[in-house]
Amino acid sequence: MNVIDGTDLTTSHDDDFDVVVVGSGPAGAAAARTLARSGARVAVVEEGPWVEPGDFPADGFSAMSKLYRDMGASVMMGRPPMPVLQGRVVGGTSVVNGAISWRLPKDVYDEWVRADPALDDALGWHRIEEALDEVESDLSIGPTDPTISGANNALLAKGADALQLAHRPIRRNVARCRGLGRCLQGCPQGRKMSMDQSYLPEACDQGAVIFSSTRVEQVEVRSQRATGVVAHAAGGGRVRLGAHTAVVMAASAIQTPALLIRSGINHGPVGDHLQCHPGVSVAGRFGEPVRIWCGATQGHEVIGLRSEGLKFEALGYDLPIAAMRLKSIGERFRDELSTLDRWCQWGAALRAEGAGRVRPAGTRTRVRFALTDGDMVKLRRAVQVLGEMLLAAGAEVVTPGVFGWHERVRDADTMASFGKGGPLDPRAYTLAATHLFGTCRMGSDPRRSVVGPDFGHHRIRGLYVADSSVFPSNIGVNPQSSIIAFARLCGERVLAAS
Amino acid sequence: MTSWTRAERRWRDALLAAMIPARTGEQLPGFEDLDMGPFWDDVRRTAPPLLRFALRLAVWALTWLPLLVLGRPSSFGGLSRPDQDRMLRRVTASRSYLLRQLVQTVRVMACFAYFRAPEVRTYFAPNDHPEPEPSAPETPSP
Repeated sequence: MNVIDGTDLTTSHDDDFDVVVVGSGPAGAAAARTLARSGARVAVVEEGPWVEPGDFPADGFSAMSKLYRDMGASVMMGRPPMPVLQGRVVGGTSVVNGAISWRLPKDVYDEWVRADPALDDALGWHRIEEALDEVESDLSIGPTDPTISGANNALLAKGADALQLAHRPIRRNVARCRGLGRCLQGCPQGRKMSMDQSYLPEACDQGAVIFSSTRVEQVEVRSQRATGVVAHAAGGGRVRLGAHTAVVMAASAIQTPALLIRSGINHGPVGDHLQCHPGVSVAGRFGEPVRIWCGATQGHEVIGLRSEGLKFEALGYDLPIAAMRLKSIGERFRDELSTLDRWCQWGAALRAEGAGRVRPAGTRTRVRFALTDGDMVKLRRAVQVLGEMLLAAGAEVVTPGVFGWHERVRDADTMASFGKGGPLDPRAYTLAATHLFGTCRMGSDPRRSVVGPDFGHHRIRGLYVADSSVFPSNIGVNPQSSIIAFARLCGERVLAAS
Repeated sequence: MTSWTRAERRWRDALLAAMIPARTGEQLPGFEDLDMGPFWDDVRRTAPPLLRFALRLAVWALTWLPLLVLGRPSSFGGLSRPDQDRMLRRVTASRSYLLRQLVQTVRVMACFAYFRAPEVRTYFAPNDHPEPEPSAPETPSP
């Protein structure tokens, strides 16, 4: 790997490339690989460090401080405030996610095209399908192997069966996974086909250079053309990277718009229309050990309510995260910790209608997001179904974790009543925001979008956005494969334009 | 941000000890049984300033809330263990979202600290030290 460690850059560093890619997550890595394979001289700039798999920490705290942005404490303000989990390491969030791989749903694509038919002319469903096929082949995406899946995932299948909800093993980007339950801390054996183990090494083999621990502070624009980036290396040096052909933004739906606005590129609705998949979880205690820190981290999912904007997954966590969710305190918490190996946690991701916005605030970024009344009804339904599935799978007790309602539920009737009587105040729930979209959305109308259907900025030539900022809306499923497929298309468009 | 003062350390440790109390004769340790020094050194070194500020704010507030919550003119550390438990449960059940978040902030750090201790990790035996790569080729996943 051609990695220039920013901690070693103590003085000014100037260099020139054909393309500078900002961000090394799924979008940045996929765009960089596509471009490098075609012979372009590519630089990838990543704020986080390069970490070898053998150095991924086992415990949750060390992993979060080493691999996550703000130690996982970045918060999306609103009702309620929600933490936003993002990787900050070479490979981006692909290093610390559950490796869940979904194809872009056709019904979502059709929604986008109904709203803006020009998207279909430029993208085309057939080409997107081809790109998704290539991603699945490149990253050895396939259903979770039942021999390493573990008890947590098997119980979710049992609960879904009892409720007659469609379910299936999660398709994941892993190669010979051994079910260590360490996906969220980074796979210590490099079995997850995260970007640091797949596209980035391939891009480097084709001559790409990665600047790690180097934070881009500004996109340079001259005569309405992006000409490079100015960055600050962790070692203190100023880094200026010129881009002869293009600057490709792939820093996430939060960092990309913030950086554009900070650089004075604030045309159109940049930073607006933020959408996400708020996530909620419910815990249940079983009579036998489940040990949610073992097996495939997220190996099974319930897809039977996807048309309602709900998707359910088994959640595997390291010990501290598993314990945090128990909600009790003091002596009772102590009692529950002694049975921690019997607690199971499942989560739901909502295709929320709510929207928010991203704005830079000094050196930081301010993010606001609000759920709608419809989202709250959906959220309540999610908690109800999670609780019902846990009880149907044999849980002795369920803790919905919703303020102002039963702390413990032992029977299905009480759990079913949550669907009508559960609180609708967002602050009663503990949520986390995952999968962010829409802050530089793609479209044909420059007043309503930031980039065109060719991924190019409407006003600034040579400036492209490759990450999920360009998605016109959230997609209701895990977006990694779709992001990679779109970034490949973005790379192709950059090549075609040059 | 400056490091914890001696008084703040005492307040913080009293809160953590109440979150996960020690019990004699049990294999699973309580907070008072563990050396948390290395953890707090790492927090000082690596945690973002906003998180450290939030934690300190929570420690200050919860230390002096017994007067409002229980009507006791005492710091949290000066309460008996049952009263500490009662006070934390009351704050957790408060209608005020902000008050509930104070306890949640300390609880999150308590969990991170507790489950980082080698004694605790050994007890639950997660895959901290996976076996090295097998030499024989395996069947690729589908």
